[in-house]
Amino acid sequence: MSKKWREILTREKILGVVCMVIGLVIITVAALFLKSGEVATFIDEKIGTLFAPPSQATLYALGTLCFFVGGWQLYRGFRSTGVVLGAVGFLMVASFLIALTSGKQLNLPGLLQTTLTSATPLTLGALSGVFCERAGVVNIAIEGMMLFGAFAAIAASSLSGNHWIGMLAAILTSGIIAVLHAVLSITYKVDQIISGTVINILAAGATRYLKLRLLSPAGLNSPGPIANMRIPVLVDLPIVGKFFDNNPTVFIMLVLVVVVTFVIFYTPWGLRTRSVGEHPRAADTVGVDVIRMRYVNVIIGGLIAGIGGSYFSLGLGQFEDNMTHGQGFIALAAMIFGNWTPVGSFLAALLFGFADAVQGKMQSVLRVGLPPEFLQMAPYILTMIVLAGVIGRAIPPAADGKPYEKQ
Amino acid sequence: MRKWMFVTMVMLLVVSLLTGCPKPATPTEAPTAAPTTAPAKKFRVGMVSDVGGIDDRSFNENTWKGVQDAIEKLGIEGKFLESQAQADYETNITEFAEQGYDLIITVGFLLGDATAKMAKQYPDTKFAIVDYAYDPPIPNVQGIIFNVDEAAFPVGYLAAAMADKVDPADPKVGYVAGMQIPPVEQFIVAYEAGVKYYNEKYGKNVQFMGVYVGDFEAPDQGKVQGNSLIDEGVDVIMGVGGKTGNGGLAAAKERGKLGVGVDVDQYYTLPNEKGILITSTMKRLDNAVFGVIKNALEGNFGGGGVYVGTLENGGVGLAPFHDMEDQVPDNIKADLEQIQKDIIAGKIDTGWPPK
Repeated sequence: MSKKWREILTREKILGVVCMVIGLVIITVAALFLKSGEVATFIDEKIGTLFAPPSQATLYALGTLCFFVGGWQLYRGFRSTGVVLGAVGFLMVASFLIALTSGKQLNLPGLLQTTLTSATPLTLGALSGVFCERAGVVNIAIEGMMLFGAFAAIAASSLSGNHWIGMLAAILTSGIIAVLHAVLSITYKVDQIISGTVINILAAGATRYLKLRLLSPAGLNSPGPIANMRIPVLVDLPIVGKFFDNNPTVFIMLVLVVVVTFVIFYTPWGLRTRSVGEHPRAADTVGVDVIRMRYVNVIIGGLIAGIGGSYFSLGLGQFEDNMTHGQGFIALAAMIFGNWTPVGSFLAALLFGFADAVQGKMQSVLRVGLPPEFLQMAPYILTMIVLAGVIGRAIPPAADGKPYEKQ
Repeated sequence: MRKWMFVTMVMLLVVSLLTGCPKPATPTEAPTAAPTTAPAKKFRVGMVSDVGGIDDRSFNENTWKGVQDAIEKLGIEGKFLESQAQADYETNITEFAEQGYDLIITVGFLLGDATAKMAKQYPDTKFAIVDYAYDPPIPNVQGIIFNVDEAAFPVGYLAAAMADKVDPADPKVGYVAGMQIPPVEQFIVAYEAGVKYYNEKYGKNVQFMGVYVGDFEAPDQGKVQGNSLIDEGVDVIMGVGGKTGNGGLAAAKERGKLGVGVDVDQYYTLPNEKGILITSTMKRLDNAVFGVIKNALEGNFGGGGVYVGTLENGGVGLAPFHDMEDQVPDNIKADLEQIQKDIIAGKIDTGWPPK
């Protein structure tokens, strides 16, 4: 019986049903909660109103579209479920924003800008994790590496008077911490979770102590925030111009997403890295030095975490205790949600950043009565659903977390 | 083999726990030696900070300053323990209580439950807690609370006036706050009431909006949300709540907007942002804590009672305008004086507690 059901209810079919239900929900919400005359006004602070769709009618249209996409998926099936997920996700988010903004106004480019900024440290942390875990080393020490990086960035910026030297110091410091993680977990085969935890605790204590005893008394804790980077010409564009006047780390992050994707999936180095993470014994038999590959990848991961760390402190212009406040772990969640790929991690981080951005707007301009905690929870609930294998499946590298012993 | 190792480890652990335990203060222990070596035992004060650290440039640091003042002027002995996480509250309090400290000061609303529990467990130890008043009162705990709304109301009024001055077409005042707990809401509610009072008095429409980030230790998120508010046209950012609020002020500085500090005169604690601060809503924790220690030392410990800092007794107040001295219009300065008088006289409702 159950086997027969499983044949009828494939994942593709379930997806279709879910899309149809979402479409119906959108239509119901529009009918129940929105007034027919209201418009949702989306603005930009420079040019004013961008567009102002009538909220109820637009939601009816989007909901119907969503329903039919689901219906088609159930009846015939689209070639790629990813496209369906993406389309329905977009329709859902658009409906959600229009419903919230109905009768009010919202700065849409600002919202997207906030999303991108919030996603920056998460993406960098996740990229760090991608390098380590693709090579088969679990890295929960991203949080600690970033915290060390944040500290080093401020110390070096104050001493040198140059924020870029600060960022370089952050990268190197995190790299050194990564060496520690590599030695513990690869050479000494310490449980990788334990090694990571130790580094996180060490980071919290050591940076705090050094700040209290060295940084603050010597007056080295206020170099001021790093200046925004302005990309000439592009910054003068209407609406999207503000994206090109941003914290330099944002641009570095975007470049890294492309570079890491290329390195991991399109170079011999990336192939070796993945083979070491999937089946180290097989890699070893064809002459790949497993230990060396793992060392180097963990260290590269550490260097990237350092950039993420510098985002926290250089953005504020001073170091504060525990200023990474758990974002390293959320970066890990983004990496898992993104199925251990750089682009996936970036998209997941954007989703998390979007939730942060929208909940801020819900409290301020949109004034929704719903407690903001509910929306803050949304990305994590999604992560759990992914981990449970309902929407998609998260498949870690096969040898992730397993120390390699040469025979 | 492994089983033996395990047994040995467990035994070692048990032995170390037993020997490492703080010695119970039994009267049989060396009763003769103590009085001769220590002629006058010093009054000992232990402070347990909230997460955020002793040098948070805000309420932990300010409370510790009160203890330091007492060390200097009253000759007491003082120590602090920092809480790295909420799980540390009880451990830290126990640490001081077991060492026989005379007065334990816990800093912050979030320590409320831990302090109440420990006060019952150590009924002979004196406790004082910042930002909390127990109902019903606990006999060995003195609450220290502040009517910050009395200071926040005129500050809200001032912020509205400044927003109106710099952006008369569409003035907006925004806040970037930490967690949504009563001591934070107290600021926000009174700020909003102050803004409304300005609107009524001058027939304006200054808007008030903001964000609770949900964390006191997230300056990056504070900055992101501060920027988000500025995108919506906010002209003055009020930081409320530790480092998160400071992040909001950093955004205001970056985008050329004005800011308002909180708890202490942040002109002295935020070197990067001091130039944009109109004022700060101050809670004089140092004065309050010094007073509580002094009373306890002199045998007038106010256990079961509550110290309330008000505008009238100087427990709360507005910081000087500093660099903004010339920017604040004279009529607004006069209004502020009058508003403060009216609040002390009870003629103005600050909106707190909400009805």
